[in-house]
Amino acid sequence: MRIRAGVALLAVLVGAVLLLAPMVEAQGDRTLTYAQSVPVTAMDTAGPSIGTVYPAGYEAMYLVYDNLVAFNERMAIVPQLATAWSVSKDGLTWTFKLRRGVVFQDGTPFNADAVVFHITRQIDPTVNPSNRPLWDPIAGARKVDDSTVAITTKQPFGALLNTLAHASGGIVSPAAVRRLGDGFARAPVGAGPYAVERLETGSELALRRFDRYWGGTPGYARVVLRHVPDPTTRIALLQAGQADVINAVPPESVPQLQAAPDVEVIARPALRTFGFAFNLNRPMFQDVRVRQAFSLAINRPAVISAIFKGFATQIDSPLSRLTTGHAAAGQLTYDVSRAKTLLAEAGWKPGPDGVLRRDGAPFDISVLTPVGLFPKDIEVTQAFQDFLRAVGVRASINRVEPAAFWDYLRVPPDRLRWDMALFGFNPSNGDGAYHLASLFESNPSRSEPPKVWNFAWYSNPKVDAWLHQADTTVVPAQRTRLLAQAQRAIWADAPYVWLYAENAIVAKRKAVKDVQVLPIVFTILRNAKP
Amino acid sequence: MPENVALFTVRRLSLLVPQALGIVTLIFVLFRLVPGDPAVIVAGPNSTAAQVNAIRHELGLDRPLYAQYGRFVRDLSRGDMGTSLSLRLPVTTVILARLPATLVLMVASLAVTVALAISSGVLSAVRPHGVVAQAVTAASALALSIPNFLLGMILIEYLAVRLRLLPPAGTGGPAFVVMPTLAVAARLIALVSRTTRASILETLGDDYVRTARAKGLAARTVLYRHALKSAMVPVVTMIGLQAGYLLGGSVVVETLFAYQGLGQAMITAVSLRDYFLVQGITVVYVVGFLLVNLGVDLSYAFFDPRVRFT
Repeated sequence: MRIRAGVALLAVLVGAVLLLAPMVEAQGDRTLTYAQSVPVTAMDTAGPSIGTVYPAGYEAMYLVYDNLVAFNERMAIVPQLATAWSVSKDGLTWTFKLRRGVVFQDGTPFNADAVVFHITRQIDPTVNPSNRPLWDPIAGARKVDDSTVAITTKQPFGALLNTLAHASGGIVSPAAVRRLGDGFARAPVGAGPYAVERLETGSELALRRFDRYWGGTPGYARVVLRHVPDPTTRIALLQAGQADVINAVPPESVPQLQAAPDVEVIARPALRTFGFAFNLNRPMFQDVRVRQAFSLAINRPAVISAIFKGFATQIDSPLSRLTTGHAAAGQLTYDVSRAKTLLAEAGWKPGPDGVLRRDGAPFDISVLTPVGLFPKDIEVTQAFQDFLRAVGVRASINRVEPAAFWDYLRVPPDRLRWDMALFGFNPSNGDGAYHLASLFESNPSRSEPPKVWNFAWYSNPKVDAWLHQADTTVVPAQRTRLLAQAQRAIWADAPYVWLYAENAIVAKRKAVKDVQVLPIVFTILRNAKP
Repeated sequence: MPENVALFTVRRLSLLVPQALGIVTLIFVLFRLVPGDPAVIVAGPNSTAAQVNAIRHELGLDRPLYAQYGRFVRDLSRGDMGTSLSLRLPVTTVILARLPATLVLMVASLAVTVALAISSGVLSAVRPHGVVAQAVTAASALALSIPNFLLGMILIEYLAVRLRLLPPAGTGGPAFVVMPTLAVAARLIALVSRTTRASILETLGDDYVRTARAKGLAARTVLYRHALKSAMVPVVTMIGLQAGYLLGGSVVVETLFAYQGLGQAMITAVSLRDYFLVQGITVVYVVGFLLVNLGVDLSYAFFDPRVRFT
């Protein structure tokens, strides 16, 4: 009898499955499903940074909001809600002409008052504690007439348009912010092509088409953003036709996806560049020849082809080639004998065991790496360990939990517990001055954690001056020249062993058209069409 | 005897209060030992010391530890577990939204375990050297040695991608529960099946079973009415012991199948350093574990009349 009950239960289960499977297939009609590696939690442009999970939250915000200006696929600035703009001679006032006849998803009008409300809200650090380097340079905004706004900056601010195109530059409906208060983060209202229908506590976001969108009818009736943490599962969803677009595809899965007839892989160089930062407080790293030798010891083409299957890009500057202000600063070469010579010149001679020694002390270092935070982080660090061994440096790997990784970096210099650390920085506004200042501008105080991410404690007064000048000029050619000088100086000082720029790898069903992948690793679905 | 059971139940329930309090205290202490300051996490990387202090005050983290503990226990007793930092929702709301999916997975796993494991265990005990018994032994050895996430991946590849019988991942109707259930339950099915088989074989050799046979009862009646019931005691113990494993396994399996239960919320909360959400989910898991143990203890009374509650 028990046996029969078991068989009956199984039969019921199988029956349920067979009945439900076709239903699941049928509902895919005109809905675009995007499986993301991290969840959408909050979508407010202001608010604590833990609220917006990167990149999922920003990708959702680019569907819900329109900005004054936007990035195209090459990271160039194009008009969106602003149709034209100009900057005053002193570089302090920017005037924007606004698109007319635009409404927010709650039916209220988009106009100069809305822009002033938005800018005022973004620059107030008590309302918006996150993305401060992007918003601090702005002094305020003023309505000129209903469709003209003037934005003033404290000093000339060359990256203003990048800030406005950033996800936190999405224009919010003032009426909705006032009505919803804290709840706005979960039910935001913008003027973008898709409006929020339902947010399931951090697991799934359903959006529906905004029929009054100024840019024409959006391509899908609904867009669903679903959190699927496991890469294998995302691929299975795509192959089974349950997802139309997936992100964060591991490089080793690309051939399998390329072989599938109805799937297309989009891989492109991204802005995030990687390297091993030197802890420049350590005596053994004071000699630039030692730092250069470490760099010469690394066979980057081998790392890119073996670990990334070709899906990473060589770099010639601390900045990726697509970052605003990039300039080639030098070549990364692999030359073990030159590395050994440089180390010998710096006083490091091989001992009987092959390990380099100076004044009797062996060259032992600890290398910090998170596990599972950056693409292939532990694999790359292990390869680095092997390359260093070949020149006589003994590296031990200190692997840490992704969530705890930041605690090892954001401490005063005397509390740093590592000699080198793997790190990658993505300038999410696409701007090179922001990238360089975050990593290489001198920190104000040695008794406090680094101001941004200069945990290598690099300091070069010339670089500081060039970065400051670049920040306060609005003439693009002048900015580019200053940033080029800074890149070459930093490159020569070698505070990092630079590695590569990552590639963003997204896969989609061929039937879905016009999926954009920005080099800031955001997948943009607002223009997607069946 | 019924009043005996009632007394035991009351006693067992009253024991639950100090147990829960002890564990809640332990959780409080452990979460204070975790490196990282929640106020710093809330304030974000570009915050000033003044902002961090303001948030610390708001969260009550600047008060003495005993005051924090008192507030923690008081809030908890009212069902208030604080606010999720990442979702900006009460932790209780998040847990209540995620709990049903995990409960469905647990119940389905237990149901499948009971149905498959006990039936296969009985079958292989009746003819210990038959083809069925050998197949069951081989299958359970396999199920015991495959980790649940690997089994999950194999299921996805074959049932979802190749045969397209089931949706590969997500939450929705019953179809979404089938593969996660199998992945969670496989190990338990194997264990319980083996326990059932061994326990029945042992019981069949007992005196009272021989007496039952001697009375001329049908083999079927002897097996089901007499042997199976008392053979269930070790089986229930095994299921109870493994319930914790089910909870732990569900964390991995929910993440693999993007199944929107408590386990996946836990993993996401950990990766986002959502301090209060992790704390709240831990409390729920631990209390769940206590309740399962209580259920196992109480069920002994039903299965074995020799068990006396004193």
